[in-house]
Amino acid sequence: MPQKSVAQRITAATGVDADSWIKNSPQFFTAISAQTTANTAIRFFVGLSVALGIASVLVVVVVQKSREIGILRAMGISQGQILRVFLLQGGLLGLGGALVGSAIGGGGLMLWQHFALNAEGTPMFPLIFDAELLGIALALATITGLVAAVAPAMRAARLDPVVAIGG
Amino acid sequence: MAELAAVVELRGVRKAYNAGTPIETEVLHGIDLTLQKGEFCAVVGPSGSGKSTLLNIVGLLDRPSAGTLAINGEATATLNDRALTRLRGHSIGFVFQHHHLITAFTALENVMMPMLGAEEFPNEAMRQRAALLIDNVGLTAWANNLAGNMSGGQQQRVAVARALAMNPSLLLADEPTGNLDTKSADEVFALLRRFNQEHGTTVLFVTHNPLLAERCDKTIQVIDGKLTG
Repeated sequence: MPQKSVAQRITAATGVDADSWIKNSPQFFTAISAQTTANTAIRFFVGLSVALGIASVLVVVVVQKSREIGILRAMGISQGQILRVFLLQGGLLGLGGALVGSAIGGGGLMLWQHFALNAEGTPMFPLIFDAELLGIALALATITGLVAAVAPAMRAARLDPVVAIGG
Repeated sequence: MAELAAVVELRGVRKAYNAGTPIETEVLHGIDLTLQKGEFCAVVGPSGSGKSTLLNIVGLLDRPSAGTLAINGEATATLNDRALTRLRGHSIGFVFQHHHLITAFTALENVMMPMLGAEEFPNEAMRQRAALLIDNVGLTAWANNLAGNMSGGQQQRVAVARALAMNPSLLLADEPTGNLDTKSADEVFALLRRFNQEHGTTVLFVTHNPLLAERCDKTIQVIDGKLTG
């Protein structure tokens, strides 16, 4: 194992008794691993709740706008166009939510950096803006919104115009 | 010279709900109806007689349980939803009893709605056509007002303009004057009549008003799902 060979090389080169710190601190690594698992679970459930939130908002919109959807269908707007309108709305909700969330999160971190200082006045944690991470987050949120919108969009597209207008 | 196809041709059209179940209810019983280009036809009859169902079938919003329907000579029985939607969008305009405008949009935007899905109307042409129609119904000054801020008569005139956006060969009006005062009802009827005469638009006009029915070219009566008169 590379850790062991490093320790052996240090021992061989310096005569100092060296050992792998990973091997000597198993609880620390178990804690780190548990934290990573908890992080992943939290992210998954946050994503799921966002998707369910967007889906429920869109279901309500579809019910509230069913008459307008019926009118649009009567005027020759196709099922595909109705489907695209609601998918677009889901995607925009996801993207908009992510932009607002990122702005609030970024603002909060800057405040933290401003107020949480070490004794010598330096920030407790350095902040690094990661454009790639932001891009991935925005893309994931948009995709989540799109996926969440599929069921309500299909429901809207399949509305019977006679029922929708009459209702 | 080849004979022009009828704008609407129904042969033996029946409509049953809950077909094949113990509670099957047939609301239209073998309707035959032909409407030629430029005809202005009133449909009268008591509530629940099947007038709206007939209009929904002619308007391709609903399918008959039996019988045939052709619009401008095109048989509709074998058309899928996409083809029906396209035929409806290009050939048929609707005016409902309630204007059904999108109240958060302006009058102009409401009239532009049917043209959104039509490739023959790029943005500027769409706006120009909508403005022309708004002008034709006498609402130029109101073009940029929200539909929700207009009177019932004005809203119904916008609905007429919207129904004519795609220059349809057939206009279906389901009691468009039912919610209007006498003066507004007369204005809306006159508007429909004018478009019928100027553009040769065939109009099927459902009404409970015998005075308006008398002013149409012909009147058909629907009683218990059958045509009389």
